[in-house]
Amino acid sequence: MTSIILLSIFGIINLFVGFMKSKRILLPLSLLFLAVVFGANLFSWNEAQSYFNHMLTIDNYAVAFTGIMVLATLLLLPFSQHYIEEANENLAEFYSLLLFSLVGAIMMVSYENMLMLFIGIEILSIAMYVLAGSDKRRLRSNEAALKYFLMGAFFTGVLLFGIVLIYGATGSFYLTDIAATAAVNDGTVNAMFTLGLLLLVIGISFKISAAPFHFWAPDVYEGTPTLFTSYMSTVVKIAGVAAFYKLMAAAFAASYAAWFPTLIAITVLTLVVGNIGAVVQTNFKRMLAYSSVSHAGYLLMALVAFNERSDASILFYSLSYALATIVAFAVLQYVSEQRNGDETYAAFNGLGKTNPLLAFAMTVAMCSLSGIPLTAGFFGKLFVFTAVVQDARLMWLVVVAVLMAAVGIYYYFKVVIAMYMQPAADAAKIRIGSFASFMLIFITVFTILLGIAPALVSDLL
Amino acid sequence: MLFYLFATLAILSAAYMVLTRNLLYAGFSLLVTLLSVAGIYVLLYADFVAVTQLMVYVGGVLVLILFGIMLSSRVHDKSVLSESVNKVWGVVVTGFILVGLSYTILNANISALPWLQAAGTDVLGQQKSTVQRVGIKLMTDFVVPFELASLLLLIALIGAAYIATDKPKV
Amino acid sequence: MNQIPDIIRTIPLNYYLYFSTALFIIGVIGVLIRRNAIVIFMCVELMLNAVNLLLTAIASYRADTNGQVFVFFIMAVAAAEVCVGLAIIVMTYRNTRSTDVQLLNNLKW
Repeated sequence: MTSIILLSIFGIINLFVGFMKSKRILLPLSLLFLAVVFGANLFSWNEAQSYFNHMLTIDNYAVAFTGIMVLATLLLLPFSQHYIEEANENLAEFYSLLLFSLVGAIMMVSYENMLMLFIGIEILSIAMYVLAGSDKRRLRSNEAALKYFLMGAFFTGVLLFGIVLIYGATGSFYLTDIAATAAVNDGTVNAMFTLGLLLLVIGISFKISAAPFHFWAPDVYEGTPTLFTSYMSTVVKIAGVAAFYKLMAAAFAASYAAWFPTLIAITVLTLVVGNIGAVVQTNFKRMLAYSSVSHAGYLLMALVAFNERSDASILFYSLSYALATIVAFAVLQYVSEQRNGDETYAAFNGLGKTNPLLAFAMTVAMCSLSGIPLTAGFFGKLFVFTAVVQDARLMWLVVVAVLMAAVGIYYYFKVVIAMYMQPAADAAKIRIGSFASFMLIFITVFTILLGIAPALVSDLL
Repeated sequence: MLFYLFATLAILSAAYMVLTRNLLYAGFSLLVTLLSVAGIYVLLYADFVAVTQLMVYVGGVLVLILFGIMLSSRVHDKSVLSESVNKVWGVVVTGFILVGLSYTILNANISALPWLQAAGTDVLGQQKSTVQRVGIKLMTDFVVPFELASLLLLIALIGAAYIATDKPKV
Repeated sequence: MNQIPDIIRTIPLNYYLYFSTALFIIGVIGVLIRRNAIVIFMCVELMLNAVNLLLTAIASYRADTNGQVFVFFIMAVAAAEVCVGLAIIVMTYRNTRSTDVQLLNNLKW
C-alpha cells in the first residue's frame, strides 16, 4: 500500500520538476524515488495485511513481485541517457508515466477483487500505449502504438466479458467468494462460469503475449522505442504472469480441471512459436520479441505445474529473465544508436574488440537467457522444470521445453558469434556514460551471483 | 414492450454500424445503439448508470469519436468510406464464437442460479434511486479503485496531451 | 420484505444474456472484418457496452450495487481509453494521411 501511495506522489512530483528547466536532475530524482519505494516496500515483508475491505492484500507474494518490478525499472532507467542528451522536452512525462504504470503493476500482484485487477491492467496498458507511440515522428512507433492500442482494447473487452460471466455465475468480484462458490460446486458452477474462465485466460494471455495471442508482440516490440520495449518485456510481462498465477491460485484452484487443458495448450504453443519464430529473425529486436514470447512460455510452465513450488520458481525466473533482458535491450540501444538505427545482428559485428564491456555484458545476458550454467537463467529454468516434474504426467512438457531451450541457444549465440568472430564494420568505440557502465557491470555481476548462489532469492517465498 | 423495442433498435443499428462503409453513418448508428442501451438501463432501474451512460458515452465518447472522424477524414470525399477485409475468415471465426457462446447460454440454466432464487431485496431502497447507494459504495468498499481510477485518468490526460500535440521540430 | 420490482422480472435474465451476447458478437465481427481504425475502435466500444449491459442486468436482478459500481469504473476506463486511442489515431493520421490499418504494413504480422 505504501508503495502505491509513494509512487503516485512521486510521479506527480516528477511532473512538477519537469516544468523547471533542470532536466538533468530528473534521472537521479527518479532513481532516488524508485530506491525509496523499493525500501518502503520491504517493510511489508512478513506483515501480510489486507487493505480497504479486502480490495488488496500486501502479502509476501505481492512484496516479492513488487520488489522485482521496482528493481527492474530502477535498473533500466539509467539507460535512458540518450533521451537526456537529446534534451527531450517530455522526459518528465516519460518518467512519470513509468512510475504511474508501476502502480498498475503493483495492483496486479496484490489485488483481491476483479475490479482491482481490471484497473491495474488498464493503468499499465494505457501508459504503455502512450509510451509505445512516444517517438511521435517515427512511423513505426505510431504503428506500434496503434496496433497495441486496438488489440489491447479488444482483449480488454474479452477480459471484461469473462469477469462479468463469472460475476453472473458466482455473484461476486472477490477472489475468495469466487473460490468459495467454485469449491462447493466441484470447481464448475455452470457453463457460464467455465466460459468466463476461458475468456479470462484469453484476456490475460494476451497481456503476457502467450501464443496464439502473441501476434502483436513482434511488431509492437520492434516499433516501440527500445527503452520502453525493455520495460514492456520485463515489468508488464512479470506483472501479467504474477497476476495470472494469483488469479488461478486464489480464485480458481478448485476449477483446476476446467482451465488446465486450455493452459497447457497455450503453454506448449507459446514455447514452440516463440522459439521457432525467434530462429528465423534477422533483426535482433524482433528476435528479442519472440524470445520474450518463449519466456512467457517457460513462466506459464510453472503456472501449469501449479504446486507449492510454482510461485517461488515464477519469482526466480522473472528476476533472472528481467536482468538479462534489460542488459540485452540496453546494449542494443547503444549499438543501434551508433549504427544509425541498425538493429540487425550485423550491427553487433566486432563489438568484442571495440567495446569489450558491452560485449561481455551481452554475452552473460545471452547465456542467462538461454539457460547456461553459472548464470541466473540456468537456475530459473531448473526451478521451473523441477516444479513441473513433481507431476510425473507432465514429463513430456519438460522434454518439449528442454528441446526448445536448445533451439534457444542457437539464436542467442548468433549475436555472441557476431560480436567476437566477425570483423568490425565500424571501428569507432561506442561511448557510454560512466553510470550506465556501472549499472551494466552491476547487473552482470548480479546475474552471475544468482547463478552461483540462487538461494538468495529462490527461498524467499 | 419497451425492452424489445430498445433491444431490436440497438442490435439493428449496431449491425448497421459494422456493415456501412460510411464512417459518419457508423458514428451516428453507434449513437442510436448507445441511446437504446441507456433506455434499457432505465428499464433495469439503474438510473445512475443510465445517466452516466448518457453523459460519458453519448456526451463524451461519441463526440470524441466524431471529432476523430472529422479530423482524420475529409467528409464528402472517398476517405469517409472504408472497405471491409477478411470477410470470410472474420465471419467464420465469429461464427464459432457465436455458436460457443450460444451453446453455453443454452446450457447455463440461468434461472437455477442459487442467488437468483434467493434475491429478494429491494433494488431501490427507500430513496427510489440507486445514486445514494452507489455513492456510499464508492466511498466505502470501492474507495481504493476510485482513487486509482483518478490516477488512470491522469495518465490518459498526460498521454493524450503528449501524443496529440504536434510541435514543429526546432 | 421488499421485492425486486416486478417490471424487471418481466424480462427473464436469459434475454439480457442473449441481447448482450449479440451486441458483443457484432462488436467482435466488426473488429475482425473492418479495416478502418476508427470503426474498429467503435466496435470495441460496442463490446464494452455489451459488457456493461450484462453487468447492469445481473446487478439489478441480484439487487447488488457492486455490479453498478463496476459499470461506473468500466465507463471511466473506456473514457480514458477513448482519449488516448483517438490521440494515437490522429497522430498516425498525421503521418500517414489515413486511418486504414491495412496501410500500416511496415510492421509485418
